[in-house]
Amino acid sequence: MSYTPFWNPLPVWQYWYLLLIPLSLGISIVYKSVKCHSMKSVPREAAVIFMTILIGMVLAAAALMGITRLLEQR
Amino acid sequence: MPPAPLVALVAWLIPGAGYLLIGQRARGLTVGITIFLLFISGLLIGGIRVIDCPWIESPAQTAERLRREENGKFHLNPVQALLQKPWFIGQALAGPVAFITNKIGVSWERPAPAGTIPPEDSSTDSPPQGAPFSHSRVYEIGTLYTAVAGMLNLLAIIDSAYRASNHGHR
Repeated sequence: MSYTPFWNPLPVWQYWYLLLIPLSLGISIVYKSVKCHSMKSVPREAAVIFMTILIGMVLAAAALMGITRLLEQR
Repeated sequence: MPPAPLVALVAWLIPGAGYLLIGQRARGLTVGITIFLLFISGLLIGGIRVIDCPWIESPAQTAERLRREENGKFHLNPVQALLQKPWFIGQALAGPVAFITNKIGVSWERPAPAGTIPPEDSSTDSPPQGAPFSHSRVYEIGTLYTAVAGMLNLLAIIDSAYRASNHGHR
């Protein structure tokens, strides 16, 4: 079945979690655009918060995976 | 400086336009374009039916609802209907584009590809269903993108209205 934009969902069943990366980037840009006093500081501030979100999500995923494995072994 | 309620209204109608109205062009364009891209990305990821307004139905959904109500089941008032689809609260904050998108989704009928024969059981009295719903993770991610776009627009609405009442400063 061919992909028709807006009609069919994007065929990314195996890689859906990668779609959280652009979402985090968008959140970072808008949040810092609203928050920062000057727009000149937005790119740097947005990059910092973007990396913070990504690292936080990776750490949370790792911690949850560790807890799940631990409970499986019991 | 325009009054804050006007700025808030314009900011809801067109994401980022509230900032443009108070003369903050770079902020308005950055916020507006980013929110627009998030919203469109959500539609591309999960399909147009990730926008699911409880009050805009395809003819098939209306027929199904009426059939249930005739049986005395599941009659919902508008608020209860909205609470059944809470993600739309976030999506609606992105502006009228959410309602327009949903209207397009429920009325979008794709004709059968040329040269194909429609199935035997496709009776002419079955009401149109609009574009199909997607499922699973891609539906969830598409819904998340569009709802986050709306909630980010709420931030922009509040901030631009506050700045309008405070001579452009926070």
